[in-house]
Amino acid sequence: MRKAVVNAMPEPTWNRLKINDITVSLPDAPGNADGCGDPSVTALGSAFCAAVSDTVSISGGFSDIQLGNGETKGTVISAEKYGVSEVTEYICAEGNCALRTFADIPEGARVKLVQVIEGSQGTELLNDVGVKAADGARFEITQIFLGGSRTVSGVYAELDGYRSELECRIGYTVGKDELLDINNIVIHKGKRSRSETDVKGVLSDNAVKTFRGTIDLRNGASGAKGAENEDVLLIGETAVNNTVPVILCTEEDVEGSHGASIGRLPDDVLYYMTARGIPLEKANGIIAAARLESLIRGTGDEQAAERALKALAERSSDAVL
Amino acid sequence: MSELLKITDLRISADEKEILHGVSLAVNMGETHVIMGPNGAGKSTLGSAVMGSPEYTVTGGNITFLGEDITGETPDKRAKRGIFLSFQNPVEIPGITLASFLRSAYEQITGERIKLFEFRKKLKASMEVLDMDPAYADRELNVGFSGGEKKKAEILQLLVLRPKLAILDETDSGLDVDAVKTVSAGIKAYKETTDGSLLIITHNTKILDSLSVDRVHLIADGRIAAEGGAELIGDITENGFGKYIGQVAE
Amino acid sequence: MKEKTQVADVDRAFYDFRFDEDESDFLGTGLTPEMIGEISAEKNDPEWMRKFRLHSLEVYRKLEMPQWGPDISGLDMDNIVTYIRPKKRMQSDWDSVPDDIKQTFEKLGIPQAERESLAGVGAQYDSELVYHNVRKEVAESGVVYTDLESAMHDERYAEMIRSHFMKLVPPTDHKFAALHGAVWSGGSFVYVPDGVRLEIPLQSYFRLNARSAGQFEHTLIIVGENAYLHFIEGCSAPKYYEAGLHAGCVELFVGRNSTLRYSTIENWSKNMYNLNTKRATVAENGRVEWVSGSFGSHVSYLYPMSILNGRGARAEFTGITFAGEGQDLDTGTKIVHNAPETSSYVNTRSISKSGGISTFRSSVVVNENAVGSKSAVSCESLMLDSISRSDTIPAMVIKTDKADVGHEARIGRISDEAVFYLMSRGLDENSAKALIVSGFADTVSKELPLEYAAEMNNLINIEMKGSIG
Repeated sequence: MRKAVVNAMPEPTWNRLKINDITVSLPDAPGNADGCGDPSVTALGSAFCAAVSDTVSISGGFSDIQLGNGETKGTVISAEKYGVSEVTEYICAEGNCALRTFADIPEGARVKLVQVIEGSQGTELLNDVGVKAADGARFEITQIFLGGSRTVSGVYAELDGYRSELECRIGYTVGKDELLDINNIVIHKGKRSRSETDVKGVLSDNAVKTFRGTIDLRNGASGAKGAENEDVLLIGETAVNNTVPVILCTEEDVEGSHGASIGRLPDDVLYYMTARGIPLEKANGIIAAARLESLIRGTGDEQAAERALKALAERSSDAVL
Repeated sequence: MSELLKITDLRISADEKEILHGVSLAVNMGETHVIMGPNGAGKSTLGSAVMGSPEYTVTGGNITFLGEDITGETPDKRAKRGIFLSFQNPVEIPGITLASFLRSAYEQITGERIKLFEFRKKLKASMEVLDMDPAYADRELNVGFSGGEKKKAEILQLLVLRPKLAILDETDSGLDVDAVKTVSAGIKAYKETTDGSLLIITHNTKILDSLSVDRVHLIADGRIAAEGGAELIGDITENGFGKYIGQVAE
Repeated sequence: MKEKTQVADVDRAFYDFRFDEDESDFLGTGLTPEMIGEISAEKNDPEWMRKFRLHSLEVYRKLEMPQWGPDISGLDMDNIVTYIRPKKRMQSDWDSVPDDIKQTFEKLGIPQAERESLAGVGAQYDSELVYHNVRKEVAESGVVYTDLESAMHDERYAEMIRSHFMKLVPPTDHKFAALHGAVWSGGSFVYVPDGVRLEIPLQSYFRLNARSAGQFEHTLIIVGENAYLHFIEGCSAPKYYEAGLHAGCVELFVGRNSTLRYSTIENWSKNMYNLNTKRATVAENGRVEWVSGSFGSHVSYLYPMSILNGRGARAEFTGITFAGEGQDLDTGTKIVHNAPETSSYVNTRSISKSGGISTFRSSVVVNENAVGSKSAVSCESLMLDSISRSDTIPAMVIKTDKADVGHEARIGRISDEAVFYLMSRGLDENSAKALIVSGFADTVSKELPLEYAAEMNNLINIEMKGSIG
């Protein structure tokens, strides 16, 4: 087992805050690590990419992925020009394991990736998604994180092409003794490229979550627009939330924005619910579950949604959520 | 009568698409002209092009003002010559008050410095004509103004800057009856105090009631479809654009 | 016009301590305890300060350079002594002041005598009269406003200074704080007693050049309970030093129910590395208000920090940064919520032009005990061309569920539509853009006293027109 620093911010900030990156264990996968796609297109880092083996290529469909201790898996999503590839990955992880998904999306193609990630106690899962998008290419990703002791994940999207697009939706619930560390990086190189990242989550008990989201508007990407938002609901007294929404910009003709809102449910919402007879502690849980539910249903994959909702319900019954 | 504005065979494109396909018209000093036509005909484009909007590219023809070719001039130079455009949707400029903005525009156009106190007096007088709350002078330029307030603020600038030619782009649209009255009073005051020329872009005739119109140009599909005296207004009000647009299509 | 007054001579004193050896003997060796000892002797430091300087030197030697932020490799750390004691005499003569600075003085309409004073080359501008008047009024209210070095020797304040000096920004904070601790010189001491609300702002401007104000100055302000103070630091005229390092330190102690407003327009000359540390601690229901404008310097690291230690304490930060050609300005703020029901409001604007790099960097930390706290951060950046750079790097670390934290940031450009509108009213393109930028900067200028706001607008106009036209 080797230690590695992953999920580094493209531009670091004060070391004292301890949010610039995270140190993890890289699983020692059996056999030769063959990497997975372009090793520079990664959110976790090239050291991580080099450790991935067992790479397959798929063009669509539902994958039930069970990862055990020491296992790694790579997926390359292939897509035709102007074609559509829809991939759903339902990931159940145990022990120290890693997963990487890569796509080089050609002109006019659309790749849709849904990932539901269920970790368990003692898991350290590393999950990396790297994508390049050509002219008119579109990448849609939905990630649902349903717990696990340590989940370290990232999406790196390089919007190279004219009018290339990223739509990223992330939902998470992080509970007792759990850690979630996310590093999202969107590079706008293509003119009129668009990105929209929307992150919603709930932290309960003593959960720890870090979200780094970088929008990098490169010189030449005129007309590009990047937007990012994170909405965090805190319902754990000792939960720790780290949010670092970064915009880097070297082009004049662009629009970039980010927003973050972190806190409790607004008093009027809680009041309304208690006035309708719902106890306060339940009210938080209901709203929290509702946030993820709508995202899960929105994936459009019924099989995955059903399983995810079940997993969510199991979590809800034994904790606040 | 001496010629103020002359547009000759003007062709205008935006985003590589031609919007005006060769338009000619002339406005003499002191005259009031009206440009009418259906939505999307190119009326506003014509007004913006005379002001020199960077959104449009002149692909043919020219514009002269008092005999000088201004086709390639930047908007500020045109403003200094005495051209004014009342915008349909004036932009909001946060952080700059209406008064301080208008004072610097005044100084730019007239080329003379004006004392704050003196300018305030001038501004106040014009605001009274428009029945504007004096508090607006210290509000940020157009920020949070309602549609009607923005239009009034445009006419206020017209009264203070006293241009030779005022192009009013849909100044009456979206206004209630009272506001149209106030704005009309402002336009009338401009006419009376400056003897400037007016080029009014509209598809509503109410604003014209108190003005004596010299000439009407009907634009349809990027071309002049018909021209005539004030009597054309009545005709269009009654019968619509239909028969004139038909002529263009032929 | 190169008449030297007594003040100018005193000013030079620090840089004049005697080394009879050939200068090159020590230039290559960095800072030594002996040299620090010389500074202490020169300044007649009390014993504790002498030790403090030496301790800081030890810390300085151990600490690493920052691993993030703008490139400061241009700073010659091996020869740090050259910044402390420039080889060429500082404030030598008017001819050696760079042209762009002279022009700026001219554009700002500053009289020649004052220009020379600001550039540190000539006689002190005759603001003594004004200063005395201010001092009289201030003294009558019971407020102490004096220079830190002589206050250390005044038995009324000695203990107060000793118990506060670099307690908020310890030398261990970072390498340049340690350097400051070792070589600090000049600066202000302000003490506002309980219950005193000083209506007129205190301006460090009056003290400029009084005693080697400049590169390593220390500002210590202690505000008692139920008191009010507005302190204004610096002015819009560019400050020029041949040796391009500024490592000042500001420590503010705000007592219960008191408000301290601290306004700064920094406009260092464009050869400066500005590594300034500013920090405030705020007691129960107290309030600190920072107004901060960063214009000059080659590189800046500047993040005034507010530590909200008392229940209900509040911090406001309003800042603007304008990075032009050759400038890399990394600015922002740090907020720590350390008590219940504390609140913080951050509102910043940054502008990048002609290849300048502007970075907004912030951190908001809400600790476990800061229940019921609120924080709102809003930052907007403007890119004026595509050879410049603008980065926004905010961090939020929230450790309690009973907090509300909001953040919004936006980056964009001046819309063509707005420029056309203004040009159609007779403004040329540069003026139109300058006006829009002034408007963009309005959140800051309206927080400044009128004459400072006007000066800031002048600065923006100079920066806007300087290289476009």
